[in-house]
Amino acid sequence: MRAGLDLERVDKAFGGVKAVDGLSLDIGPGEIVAVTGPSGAGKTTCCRLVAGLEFAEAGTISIAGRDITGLPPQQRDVAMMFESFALFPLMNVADNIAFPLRAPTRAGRADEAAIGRRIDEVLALTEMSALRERMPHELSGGQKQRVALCRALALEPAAYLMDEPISHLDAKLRHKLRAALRRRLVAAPAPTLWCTPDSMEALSVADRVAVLVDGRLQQFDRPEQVFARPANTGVARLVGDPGMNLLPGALVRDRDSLRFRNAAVSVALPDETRRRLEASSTGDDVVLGIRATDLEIAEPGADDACEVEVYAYEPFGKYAILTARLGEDTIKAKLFHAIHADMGDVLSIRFRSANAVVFDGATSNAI
Amino acid sequence: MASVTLSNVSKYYGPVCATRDLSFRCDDGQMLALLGPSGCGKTSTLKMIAGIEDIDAGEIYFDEDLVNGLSPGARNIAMVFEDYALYPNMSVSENVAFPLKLRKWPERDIRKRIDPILELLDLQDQKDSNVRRLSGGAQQRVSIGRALVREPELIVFDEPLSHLDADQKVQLRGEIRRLQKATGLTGILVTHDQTEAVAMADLVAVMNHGELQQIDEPQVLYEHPANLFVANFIGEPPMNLLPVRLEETGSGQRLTGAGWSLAPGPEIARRIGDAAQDRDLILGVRPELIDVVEPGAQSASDIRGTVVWHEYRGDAHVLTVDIADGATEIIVESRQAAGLDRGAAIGLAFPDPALNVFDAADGRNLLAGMPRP
Repeated sequence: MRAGLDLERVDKAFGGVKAVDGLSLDIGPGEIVAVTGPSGAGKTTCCRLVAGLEFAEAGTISIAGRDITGLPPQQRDVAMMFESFALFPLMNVADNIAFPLRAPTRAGRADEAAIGRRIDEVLALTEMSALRERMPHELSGGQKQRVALCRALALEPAAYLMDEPISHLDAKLRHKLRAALRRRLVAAPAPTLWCTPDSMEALSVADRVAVLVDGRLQQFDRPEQVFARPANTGVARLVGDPGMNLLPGALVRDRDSLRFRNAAVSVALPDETRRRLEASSTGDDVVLGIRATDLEIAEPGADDACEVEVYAYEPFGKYAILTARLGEDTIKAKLFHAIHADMGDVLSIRFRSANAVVFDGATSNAI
Repeated sequence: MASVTLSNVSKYYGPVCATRDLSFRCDDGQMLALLGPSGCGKTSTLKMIAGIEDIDAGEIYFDEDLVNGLSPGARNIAMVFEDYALYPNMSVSENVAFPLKLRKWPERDIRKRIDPILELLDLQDQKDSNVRRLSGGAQQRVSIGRALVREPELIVFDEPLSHLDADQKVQLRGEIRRLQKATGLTGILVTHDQTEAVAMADLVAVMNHGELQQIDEPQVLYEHPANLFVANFIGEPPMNLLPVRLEETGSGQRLTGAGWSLAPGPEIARRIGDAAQDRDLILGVRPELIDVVEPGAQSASDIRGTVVWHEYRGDAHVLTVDIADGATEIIVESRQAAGLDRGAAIGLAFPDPALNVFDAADGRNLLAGMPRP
């Protein structure tokens, strides 16, 4: 029997609005599945349903083959980290972390020495060792978040539920903790459900990424697939920094070439795309998806280049983001060589279309 | 709009120094960002500029006028706060018009003034909506509109994006930048987020412990950090900082770390100079400027390592590489993934343009100002 976490066609509505709609996910032991999506997508509800803080209206949730759909939270053996931290204000850091370990209902309670070692280990992992005796009110938001994280990590549950576990930390600490947490969680025998609105965090930390919009699963796949071949324009827009450029237009089929065209741009598409299109029943109305890294500055008037008007230029150091108007659309290019660009300047841009994705204009699904 | 000049400004809260000898200038029509970690003094600086906090020493000028003694009202400054501070029972246009209503402007003149501002901020369609029904981004645009309507000398922005969702942040920071350029307003922005500072400001002043560390254009901060603090603060993932010493070898000078070394180019060697001999140095190298090469490839820096961690970042791969048998781990960012799995043995080259050398004692960048290709 799998020691994983399974959701099968789970529904949950609040006041008639479906927060989670027919959601199915399977998470293996030692696997991290990141659920990402915009605010209101149902990420937190998803965690709460597994924790038993909300109850599914339809579908089943099981851990290691055991149906837990109707069980109260304390019988589920899950460790949930709350986005709101939920620390006990009158307990210091160590006691907050130890609290679930000392719970009288807990089977096989550890002795105090073992609890102490567990606390030391998770505090070290999150770089919190120096704050062991602090009270919650003496901590910053990021430190409180790490205490909540430690409290979940100190357990050896049947499943970890992480609701935005590192969102309040600065970039450097997030980078360190992504690696530290991933190392630790994939070594544990339990599955991890990790919710985050940050699609890049989802790509970095997860074995598989589930993209949720309006409670519905849009795509559930390996990070590389979700990034390179988004299932629909919604996923394409959400995933990446910045999200994929999406240009409505039409396919123009020649003898043995295929082009994407709209009023402002004409792009030759690679043969592989052509073959895939021949096999599908897609009409000629499409949306072209192209990553910001696949746009480059071209010499003015060069073949296959198009003119854009600079809307904004943001030099972030290792790269710059050029935002520009292309006909009716706004595009973003990620440039690895600094250029000089002022608002209103006209530049030439070339599309590298090898990795372009074509979406059906009617359904918004990738072809 | 006016230029803003600070000259040796200091502020103490009891014995605690909030800012020390702060001097910088924001030209008319520019946006300047005060950037730093919490407690660095950026908010105190903003409050002194706005006249909310007294100045203990030094002078603040708007154009040529000393404003030290002027009350906030007399400085003609507009403020945009992180929580918008809108009047919740008023519509969009009532909020924007409020400062003019207070001055008892006739209704017709108010219309004339606010219409183009609502247009500029893309709020025309929502002008009669109650502000509570707007998204956070739209509420902040209303607050900016209310600031603009007074035609102030200066607008100060105090963490204006911190309450917004990520996508709204990206959108609004672009809009603020565009608006600032289009209207030529002078702005001072306080933020702890380097991305926001770079996206919105012409000049970024990096502060730490109440002191100005560096003030420059964003690209200059990235390429020529003045000291270790700026080097470590700007950039994500952060710059690798490795203790080294300059050593004379048979084949010339080498920067030598624990278990590895590299030969810097002649220009770098000259700038570090003989003075660096026998001194503790810190080599700074940005993760994205390190080249991954075949192990043992002939290069000036023959550094071998093992990939101990590989993080996927969509269009990039962030590697943790052990370069000294467990003694030193560095971060390398590559746009290729092939052959970079965990456990892979790789070679690394630190090209000259990627190098910064800091004096370990005072943190100064010994290569500051060196031309970079």
